[in-house]
Amino acid sequence: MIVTCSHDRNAFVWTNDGTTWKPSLVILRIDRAALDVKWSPDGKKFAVASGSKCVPVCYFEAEHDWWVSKMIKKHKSTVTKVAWHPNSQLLATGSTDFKARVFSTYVRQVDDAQDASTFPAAAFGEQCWETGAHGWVNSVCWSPSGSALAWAGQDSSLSVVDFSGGVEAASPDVLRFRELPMEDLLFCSEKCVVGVGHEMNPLVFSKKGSSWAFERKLELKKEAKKVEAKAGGVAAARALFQNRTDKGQDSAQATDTLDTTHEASICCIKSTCSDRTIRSFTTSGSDGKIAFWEMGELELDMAALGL
Amino acid sequence: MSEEEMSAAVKARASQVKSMSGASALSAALKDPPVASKSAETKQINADTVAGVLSNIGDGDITKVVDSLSMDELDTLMKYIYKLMGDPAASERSGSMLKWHAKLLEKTGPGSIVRSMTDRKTV
Repeated sequence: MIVTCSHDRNAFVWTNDGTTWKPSLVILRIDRAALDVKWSPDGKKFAVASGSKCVPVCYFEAEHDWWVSKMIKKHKSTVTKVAWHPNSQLLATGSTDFKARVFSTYVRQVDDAQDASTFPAAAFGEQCWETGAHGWVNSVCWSPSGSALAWAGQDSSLSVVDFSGGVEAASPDVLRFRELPMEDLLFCSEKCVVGVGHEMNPLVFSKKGSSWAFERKLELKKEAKKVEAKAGGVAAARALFQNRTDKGQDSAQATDTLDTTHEASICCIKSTCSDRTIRSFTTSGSDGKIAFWEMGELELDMAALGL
Repeated sequence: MSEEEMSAAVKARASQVKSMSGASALSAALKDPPVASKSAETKQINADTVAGVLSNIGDGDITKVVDSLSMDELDTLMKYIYKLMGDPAASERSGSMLKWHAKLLEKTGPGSIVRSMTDRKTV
């Protein structure tokens, strides 16, 4: 099954009957665009981030043959992203009210016994944790074990909070970096986060000891290609005029081409591994490209990144 | 902190900074900017203090001074540079502000510009 959502305020669950995908409409009861949708890891529920300051959490009711939605209504502004904890009972949300939050999404009808190992047991929609940021929260992401939560802000920051020492003691590690802000995050291991966004180049962050640090841009600058000067005569004159008409300059320059694969901001990063340790992923950008990345081929110190 | 206390603090800082120079004066001027204040006047007094310090630092020393500032101070300075460049009454400053902006950008990257634009805690 695939779930999709769109700015038309609807979500569809698509089921495959062997040859075709058939959509079934989900009534979300929201009056603004739906911005993000994610299946819970156990596949029983999905959550939708929306512009109407609420998060519908939907589950299937067999007796009505219908997806029903329950609302989380604690946000003060648009919810940009949602992320499921591996236990499928907690949901992290990022919002343009400058806050990242964690909610209980325990639904008695579909969930097993409530897991109270990280956060104390709470009813559906109760807020378990929240924190402020200095910009819109663009993305939230749980670590593979669910012990740490990362979020990226529009203020070019990455924050990571570790809940393994208890919720009360957890304080976020805020990292402000030089590059442009990130739009989406992916934990590759407990010690490595890859973020994508307006920088056009994925950014790698790693945990050194107890604090997080910027590691490097994923794509290293290629050796500048020497622009071949055409040897005199007609060819040279032709190249000169070609450049003048195309680019308004006398000769081709190194800055004419980007040294990144993506040519516009990257909006999405998705793992291509079923494993908890992620060694390869794809990114898609607003330039219409999808790029596939293999961590092992990028000259990274894999051991230090916990891969 | 109440509005009066913040107003008094920025005035005290203005006179304190007058007796200092260079990087230490800039650090002092950038400390605890009145971000919580609702009074444009209080904010302007502090901006003028920062502008005064910046104008006393020669072009050759900009790099050295920028290097001595902490991450937080650099972000605050970036906010002040945008504020000062946007002030129509003092357009003659813009040239030197652009020089500061260029040096700051080298040090902090575009991240600092994004932060100064997104932060609701305006100076």
